[in-house]
Amino acid sequence: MFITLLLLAFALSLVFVPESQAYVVRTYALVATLLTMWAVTWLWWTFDASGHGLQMLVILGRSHIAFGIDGVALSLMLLTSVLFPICMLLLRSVAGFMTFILLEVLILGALCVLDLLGFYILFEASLILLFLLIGRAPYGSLEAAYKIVLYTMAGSLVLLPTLFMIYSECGTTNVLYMTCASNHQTVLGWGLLAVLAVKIPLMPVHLWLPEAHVAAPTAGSVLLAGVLLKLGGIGFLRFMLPVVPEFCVSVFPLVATLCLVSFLFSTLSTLRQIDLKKIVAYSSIAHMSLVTLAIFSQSEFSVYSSSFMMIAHGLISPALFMIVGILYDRAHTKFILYFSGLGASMPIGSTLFFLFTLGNLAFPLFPNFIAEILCLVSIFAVHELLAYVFCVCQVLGAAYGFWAFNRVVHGMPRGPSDVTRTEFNSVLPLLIGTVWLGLKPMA
Amino acid sequence: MFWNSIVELDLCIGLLLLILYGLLSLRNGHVSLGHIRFVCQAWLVLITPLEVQDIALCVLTVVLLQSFHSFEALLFLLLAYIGQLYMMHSCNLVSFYVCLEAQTLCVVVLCGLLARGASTSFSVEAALKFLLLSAMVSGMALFWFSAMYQRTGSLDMVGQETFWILLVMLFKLGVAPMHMWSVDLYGSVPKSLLLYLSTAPKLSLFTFWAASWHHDFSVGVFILFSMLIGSIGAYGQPALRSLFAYSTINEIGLMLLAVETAGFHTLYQHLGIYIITQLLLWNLTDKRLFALCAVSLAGLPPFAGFFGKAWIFWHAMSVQAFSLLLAALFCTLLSLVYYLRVIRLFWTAPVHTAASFAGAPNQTTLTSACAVALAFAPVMLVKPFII
Repeated sequence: MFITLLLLAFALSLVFVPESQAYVVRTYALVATLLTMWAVTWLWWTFDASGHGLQMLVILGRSHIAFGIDGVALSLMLLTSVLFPICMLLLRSVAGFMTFILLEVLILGALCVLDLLGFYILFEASLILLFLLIGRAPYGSLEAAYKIVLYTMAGSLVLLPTLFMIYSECGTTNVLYMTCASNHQTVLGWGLLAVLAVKIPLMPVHLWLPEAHVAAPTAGSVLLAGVLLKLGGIGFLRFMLPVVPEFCVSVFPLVATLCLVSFLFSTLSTLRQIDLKKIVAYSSIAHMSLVTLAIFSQSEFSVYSSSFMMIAHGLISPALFMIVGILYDRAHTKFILYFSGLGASMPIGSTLFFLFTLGNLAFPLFPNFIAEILCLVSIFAVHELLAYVFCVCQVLGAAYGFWAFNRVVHGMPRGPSDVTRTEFNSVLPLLIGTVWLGLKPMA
Repeated sequence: MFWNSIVELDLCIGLLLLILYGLLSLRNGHVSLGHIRFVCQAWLVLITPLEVQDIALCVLTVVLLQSFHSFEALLFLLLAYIGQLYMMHSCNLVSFYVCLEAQTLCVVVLCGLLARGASTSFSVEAALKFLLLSAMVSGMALFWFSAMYQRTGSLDMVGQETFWILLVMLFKLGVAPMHMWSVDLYGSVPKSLLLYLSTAPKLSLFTFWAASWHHDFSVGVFILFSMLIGSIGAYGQPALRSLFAYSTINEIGLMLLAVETAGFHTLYQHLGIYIITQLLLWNLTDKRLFALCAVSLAGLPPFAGFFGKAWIFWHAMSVQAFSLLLAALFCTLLSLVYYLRVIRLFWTAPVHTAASFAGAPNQTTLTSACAVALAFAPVMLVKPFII
């Protein structure tokens, strides 16, 4: 774990040094993120997949800040470190590189920290970076930037006193020891639920997501969809289920309702959207609501299915955002009615779009299909009616997916130029991951 | 002055005369202001008794004195320092009043005097507002003290109804229903005096509160007022100074929350972080560092401001002051909006525009020291959470 953080801190200092040569910064940043990817792959290699506990524990002295990884965190860290070099290929300004490297440090830290206060600090520190990223002057939207920060901050300010309550109860905020919090389950549970429900967007507090995704740059959208939503997921898995399990069971009806409602609302809202990025963003909300439902069902497969769904979604959504980014580069608009007949002029782009749209609606041979089946299995074990309703509503996913594809690819050709080799190479890792995981899903 | 031996008193008075002579002979040109300033700082160090709060105030004033360049400023700041010193150790109503007035009047005069060029009328107006309001509050306090003397025959602070002391102090701190002078004043004084205003009186008043005076009243109303007005009042402000004046009112509300619920150690920690942030804030030339200071003030991790606020919230939580804590968290969220505005403006603006902060070379050491302190503070402050 230290390896990755040290690598990134090193990369950060490297970014400071050459101020006048932008391309040098870009190479350095790319090398740094590739080194991180290598380090995390090494971690994956040395991980013992048959163990049940946390591994690679690093405990700092006598403090209770500890870092460790389990299977979920490892897979998410792998996803993060694969996504970041792709983001580096998409960035153009020095400030962007610095922001992203800082974000990578914070996110990798947040994925492996076992301490709730550490998670809070790392999680919050990424907020201000996101604000600057989304609120940047010519292309961003200030309103969206305010929304993401204020929504998440409101949730996390609810977490803060509960954090202190945990500390005064248990004497530590280290999740390994936090099982003594049985007295105040309700309050603690609500506090954790507040902030995590904002982050992995559930219905009432999901409004930041469409705006944030639309206003972020392509690399930012890739990051947000691919990684940051999963921070909420890992928050649920690591901090909520072990610490307040009775609260999770008692709040399951509410969470299930919220998940179903957010799934229906986001899927149905997608049908009316005219902004390509908003379509993908709303579909992200739908997928993550399925993940949340799977987590809260606490059945035999729930952890495995939700983490696999997070990985699958983390491959497909960034890929879709990148394709929309390619289109945006050509036309400088995301207005869906502007694009038509791309199948004639962008054959490779249309193929990619088709493949990833299929992935988005959980078509077989894609990892999303397997993930969704597993999630539905885990929900079915707990609440059959809900799983049945979800199954039926999945078809709505097909509705918006195919309609978006239809409007963009078919029709009279308007002729943007095709996907260049660079762009194809930047989408390629995601395509490889999707195909590989779809054909051979493994732990 | 405090002294331990008659020789020391002799030395202090001698140094004072030296300062006066130096100030008066500045016109001749063979004495430079820097030398006199150094002697002033040495004098401040010499007359301070050896207790922690006095040393803290002394260090603060010595540091702040570095940025003043005029004859009256040095003199009045020395007088104000003596007033603050005595006030922190007073246990008598009259001595408290006299010292508070000494300090306040020095500051008022400085506010009116130290104007530069075009902002003279603004400074004088702000100083007048401060003077009139402060005179009114102090006058009422003096009436109350004399009424108490008539009733009980004693002037001790212990065992009296001390509501007016509270009001006078809260007025000088800039707490909300009585905050109107601070917005004007912050907007129109020169930067060095602004630094002094936002740090030294608060330190001395809170030290007095902690050391010599036990309050029987709940300041909850003032907390709520301060935090709400401080959070919402800054929304439409066009000027940076007034925005930070409102943020100061918010912070004072938070510090009152610390006094009310959490205990003085949290107060001092947050006050220390706040003072360092203020020193850093008004001394910077680099816009991006200014934005980082604003992040720290807003209470966002991983900067030190978060830990100050978190510490206060934690202790408020353990005392179970839930409604005040809820209000504080809500107002933190509200104030985040204008901090975000400042951060956005100062981060993404091009660095070479006309609005650069002046007076940089004198303050580089100070700035770098404060930057280092703010950067390393989280490590030291997280310790209570860790171990």
